[in-house]
Amino acid sequence: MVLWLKKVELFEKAPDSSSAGLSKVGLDMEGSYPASEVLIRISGLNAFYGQLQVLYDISLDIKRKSVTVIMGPSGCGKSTLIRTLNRMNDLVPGFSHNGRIELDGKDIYSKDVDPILLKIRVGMVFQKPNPFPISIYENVAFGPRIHKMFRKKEELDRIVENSLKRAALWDEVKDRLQANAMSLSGGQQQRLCIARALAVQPEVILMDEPASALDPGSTSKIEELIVELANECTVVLVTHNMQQAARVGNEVAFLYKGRLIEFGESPGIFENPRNQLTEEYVSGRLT
Amino acid sequence: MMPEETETVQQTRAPFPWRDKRIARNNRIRKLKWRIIAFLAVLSVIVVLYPLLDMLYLFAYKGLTLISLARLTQTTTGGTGVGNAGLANAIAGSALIIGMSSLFAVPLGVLSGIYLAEFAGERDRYAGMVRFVSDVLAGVPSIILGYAGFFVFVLYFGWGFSAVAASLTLAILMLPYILRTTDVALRKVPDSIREGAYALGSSKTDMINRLNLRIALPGIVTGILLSISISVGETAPLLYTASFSNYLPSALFHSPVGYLTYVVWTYSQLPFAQANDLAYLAAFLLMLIVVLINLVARVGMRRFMKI
Repeated sequence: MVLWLKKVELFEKAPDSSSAGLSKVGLDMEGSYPASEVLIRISGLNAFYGQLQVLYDISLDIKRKSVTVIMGPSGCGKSTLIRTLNRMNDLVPGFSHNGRIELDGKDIYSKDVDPILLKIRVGMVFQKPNPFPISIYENVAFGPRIHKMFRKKEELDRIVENSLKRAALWDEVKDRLQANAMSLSGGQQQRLCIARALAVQPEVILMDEPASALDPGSTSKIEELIVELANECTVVLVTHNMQQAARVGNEVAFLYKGRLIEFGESPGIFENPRNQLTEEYVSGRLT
Repeated sequence: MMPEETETVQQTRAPFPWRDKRIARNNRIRKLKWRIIAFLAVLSVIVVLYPLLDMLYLFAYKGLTLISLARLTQTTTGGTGVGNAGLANAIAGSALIIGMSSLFAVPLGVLSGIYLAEFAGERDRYAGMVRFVSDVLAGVPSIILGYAGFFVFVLYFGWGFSAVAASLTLAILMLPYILRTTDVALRKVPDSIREGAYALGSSKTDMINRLNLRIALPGIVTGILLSISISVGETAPLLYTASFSNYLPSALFHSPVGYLTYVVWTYSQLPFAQANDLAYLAAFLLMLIVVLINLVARVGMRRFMKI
């Protein structure tokens, strides 16, 4: 897996070549800022659904090419937090927020940022696998097609193949690319969704409990995949499963009742939690 | 079964001998009820199916014995019985009217269905009104639509009895079916799939064009075919708007058009054997068209869904 990744120039060039085209919409900050270690900076984020406040003053730095895990019990606001990072919440009626979210130093909620082009840079994988009920090939080709990311059919074929390989699904589906995606198993469907997200070459992949609907075997495959992906791009993972957080996370944020309780590097936060609540959650006493 | 288990069962049963009797009796009654229901179900299937099959058989038999090149290529010659030669004018007229009304109704219906499902908000009062009106329209007796078509298209617009007046009237009849099936089929596309498309940076139009319409296509096509097979069988609105003609359709305006249902209706009542034969043949052709449309819809959609 790692070996062939190095051969594929398409993806090695990806962040630069894709962001070059985005300079028009104010998303490309290359040159104007030094490439810092921090890719996404969340500062003072409050979020509301109507009158109900679900996030309180979250400030968080997400590092480039690492796995940042947001963990916490159900209903703590972790999904809301991750969905503000690519503006998926724009679609939710009644959602509002204040505070600032910067991608490469640029506020993603500022008026000159096109939410469509933002989603090319920040991809997303959902909790329940949601493949489109069309062929496996067309699922992966969907993003490149709508954004016209290729000139020839062969280029698209290559994007599809590479994306499926990166998602560790190629060997299982290479002989039936034209089969309907719904014929895949749950774990395969989720990896297809990852491949679909990878096909537009995002810099950040947001994963909202990607393995919570899967069996243990598929879960460990997804976890391996997350660790591999972090070599190429930035992964933000939401999970309520702290074993999973410990296995894949470089940095872990613990969210409780809409507040960021603790944020730290992976082994440390589990071994020596500074906060009482974190300790209770990590030891399984807080649900 | 394990020995301990039977022991415990016997222990609990021993003090209640009446319990077993009740259970056995209840079971007998249940079986009897089931037999009665099954009998009634089979009976009603026979009652429903027999006339249908009998009718299919009659028209298929008559149609297949009567069908000939002459009857398909010559035109009707009026009700004198001197030689009600063929159905060419009725076939051509029916095809023309159905084709033109589909041409009006399909784009309009599908587009307004897309608007209702994708662009109108949940509480859009205009959309609610459109849905209500289209449901009412679907229930309006077709003869009333024909009357309205007669007044508006034939008299007010002054198009006379004509293919255009007939097609527009039929299009109004088809519209609610196409509109509602498109609306329903599109709204069935799950939110998770819409979310997936948005997360890839899809615009709403891209999502509708490349994904939702594709997923909803079987439903939309079924609605279109259903509306066509309904309008194929319409007589009343056409009496008011197309009148009838013994000649092949020659002009779109100011020119009455023949159609198959008129032949069935009128020629079956004439005291001439040749006229009755043409009525049978026309009925057979209508039935054939409806059956074919339904077959195409079923088989085609099943194949499409498998991909």
